[in-house]
Amino acid sequence: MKIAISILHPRRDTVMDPRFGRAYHFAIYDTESKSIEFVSNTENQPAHGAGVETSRMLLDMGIQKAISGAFGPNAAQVLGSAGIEMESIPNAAAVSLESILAMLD
Amino acid sequence: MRLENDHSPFKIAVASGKGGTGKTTIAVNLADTWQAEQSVLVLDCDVEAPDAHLFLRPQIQQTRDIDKNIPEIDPALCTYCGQCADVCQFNAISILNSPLMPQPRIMVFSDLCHDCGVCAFVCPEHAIHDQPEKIGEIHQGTVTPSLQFAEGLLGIGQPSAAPLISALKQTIEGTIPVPDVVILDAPPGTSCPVVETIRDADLVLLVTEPTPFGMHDLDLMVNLLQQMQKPAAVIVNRDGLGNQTIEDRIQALPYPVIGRLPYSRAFAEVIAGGGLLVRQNTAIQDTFRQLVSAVRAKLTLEVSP
Repeated sequence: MKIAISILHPRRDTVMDPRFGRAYHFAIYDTESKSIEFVSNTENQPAHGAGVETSRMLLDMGIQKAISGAFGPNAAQVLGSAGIEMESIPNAAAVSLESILAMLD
Repeated sequence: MRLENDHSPFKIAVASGKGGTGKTTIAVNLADTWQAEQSVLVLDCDVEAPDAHLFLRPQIQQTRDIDKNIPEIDPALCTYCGQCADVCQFNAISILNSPLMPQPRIMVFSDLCHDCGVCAFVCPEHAIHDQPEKIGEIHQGTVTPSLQFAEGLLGIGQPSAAPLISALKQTIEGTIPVPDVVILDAPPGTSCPVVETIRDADLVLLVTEPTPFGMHDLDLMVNLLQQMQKPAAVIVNRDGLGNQTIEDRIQALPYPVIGRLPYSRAFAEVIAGGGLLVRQNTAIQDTFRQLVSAVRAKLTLEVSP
């Protein structure tokens, strides 16, 4: 299963980005191969509808779950209708990617 | 500049930049004073929080819904080609596709839609049709035979005020008798709703207060008006509150100061009670009579033969 985690920097020793739609980067973690791919969120700039476009980009990549600080209403609508599990992490700006990966293993 | 043979009512927008400087106070007291000379229509364009009715207490005769059109997509005709989503500048349509989904899905986000219609225009399958969605209401009524009133009230959760303000301004043409002057009470700020309110005004009255915050936002407003090439004049409310530095900045504005209202607790009490200052105080009646004359003189200057 592929899981998208919103992160601040495209590397392992980063903290999460608490925003979903306007997150800077995502770590795409594959729970079977234990591999991580970093993707830059090219959709975080529009004035409107960032959550929709970010969700669409991640759906195209075949994710089944998203982990972030908060999901906006439009993003939640897109992800929910596609059957993607959403997990909100409290105080995500202070949570490291490593601790999320440890939780997933 | 308006042409001499233009017989449409003069439009005066009351704007400020900063909220709470006294736009509505100026608008309603100016209207109440002006109606002794000419017929006036007040449009409360602050559709997110209209409050001019609290002071004018109009009898509302007509209420009507204002809609925007959002795209409705016929699933039997849609091929998920994505052209509608590509052209939408607001990401209001999204084609969802995932290797894990049995088939693509198309979603419309009405809160992002600006009702431009380009999606229906480009759809090669003619699968997109307009679906009206209520965005707010317009209330029209009468205060006195020479003072008419209309306001917009934006629906809760509706993000775009400008289309409702545009519809509100269209009531000018249907108002009987045709008013001599229209006073548009603008929303605070300098964004789209304000631009929509003042775009066809003949004159903008800038209400400011002599505080650093008031001056900061007035500078933004001056910048906007210069880009729009709008004639304007300044009214200083809560005069006496500031210091010389602020007064120097007011004097340095590119627009003339045509009126001042003193900073007064008594005024605040009248306003808090929903009263009109000009009905309570003869000194302030004179101030507003002079203001009407100054504005009328300024309007005459803006007519080009």
